[in-house]
Amino acid sequence: MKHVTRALLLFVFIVLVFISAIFTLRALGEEYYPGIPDSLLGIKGLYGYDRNEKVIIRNEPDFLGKEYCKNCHEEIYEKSLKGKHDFECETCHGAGRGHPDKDLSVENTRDFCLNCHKPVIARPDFSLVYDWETHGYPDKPCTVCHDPHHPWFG
Amino acid sequence: MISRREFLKSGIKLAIILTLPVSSAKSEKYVYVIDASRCIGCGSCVRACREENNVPEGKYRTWVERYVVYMNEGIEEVYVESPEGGEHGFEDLDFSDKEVLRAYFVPKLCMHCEKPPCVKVCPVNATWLTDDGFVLIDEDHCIGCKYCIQACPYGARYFHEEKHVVDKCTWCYHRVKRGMKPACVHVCPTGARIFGKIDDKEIEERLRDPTIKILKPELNTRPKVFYQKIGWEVW
Repeated sequence: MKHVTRALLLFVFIVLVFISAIFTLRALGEEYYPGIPDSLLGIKGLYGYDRNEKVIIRNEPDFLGKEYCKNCHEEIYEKSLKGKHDFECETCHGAGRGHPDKDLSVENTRDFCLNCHKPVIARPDFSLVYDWETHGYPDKPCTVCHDPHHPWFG
Repeated sequence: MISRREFLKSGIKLAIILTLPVSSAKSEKYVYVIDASRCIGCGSCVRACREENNVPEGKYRTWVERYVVYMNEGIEEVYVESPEGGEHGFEDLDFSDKEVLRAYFVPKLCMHCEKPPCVKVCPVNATWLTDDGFVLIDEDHCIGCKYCIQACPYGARYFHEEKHVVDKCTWCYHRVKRGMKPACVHVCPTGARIFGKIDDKEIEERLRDPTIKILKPELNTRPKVFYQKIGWEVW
């Protein structure tokens, strides 16, 4: 009986050393610890076992959505919902992450509007309601008459 | 002592209980539907994708193609172009002397196949299919052998020169798992791109459309990007 307990104790001791080594390595960080023991222990986490989590955690969303813009620009938000330009603010302005520091103002040129509103072949008709070559051409930017947040008058 | 009959009875019951939750599991698969008749080729999606995923210049996770089908001396011909992936919009083309039968924009991206050939060929298992239907790449394990670029029939993968790994569209997995939509769907001004679970109401309605298409069905890759209102010539 004594031999059996000794063997068992030795086994438990080896397991304890193994586990403590893993926890020490984990504490050192990802670059020292490639994550093979994680799969042995069946732990789900950052360290290689659940690769899906890794893809999520390494990438932060840049495009935050209208509701984020609404926090400060509520007037424009309400206005845009009434018109045809009721899509996301970030479609024209670019990604909103880090915005108060990052400038999000857009070019005030005809070319910018024509990116969507120029009648080219294959473009469906709903964005072409005017003759783009003569309409206000060539000196006026579209924004002189049209509010970009609510382009149709009234 | 348990009798033989009792034992068999309880064994059958146990087997039924064990298989029930598997068979009644709800589908969590995501699908992507593109309505080509609504795409205006503005390139917002391509620019947004570049910003969201830090795609290097000259490489594309998603791009927009223009198909023009016209009659040339009594024969139907197809003109396809994608200048800079459609990132800066499209210029007008001169087809005034020809009869144009149909013309439309086709946004392209990774199809997130149910049977992805790129996953099969990876020698180090650096790319895999998740339970909810995303094909992802582990950039720590990718050795940059580019086998998957050759295997992909849709040309969705590219080689990231700086990281020295293969990269591709993830359907913005990091955004979807945070409850947002992919960046390209998010910025689309006309609603040409729709993304959601396969049993969402809007998706289900669109999938019932008899004209819905997948690209290269003959390869049996089972892509999960579906196209509405495109012609036979899209390839």
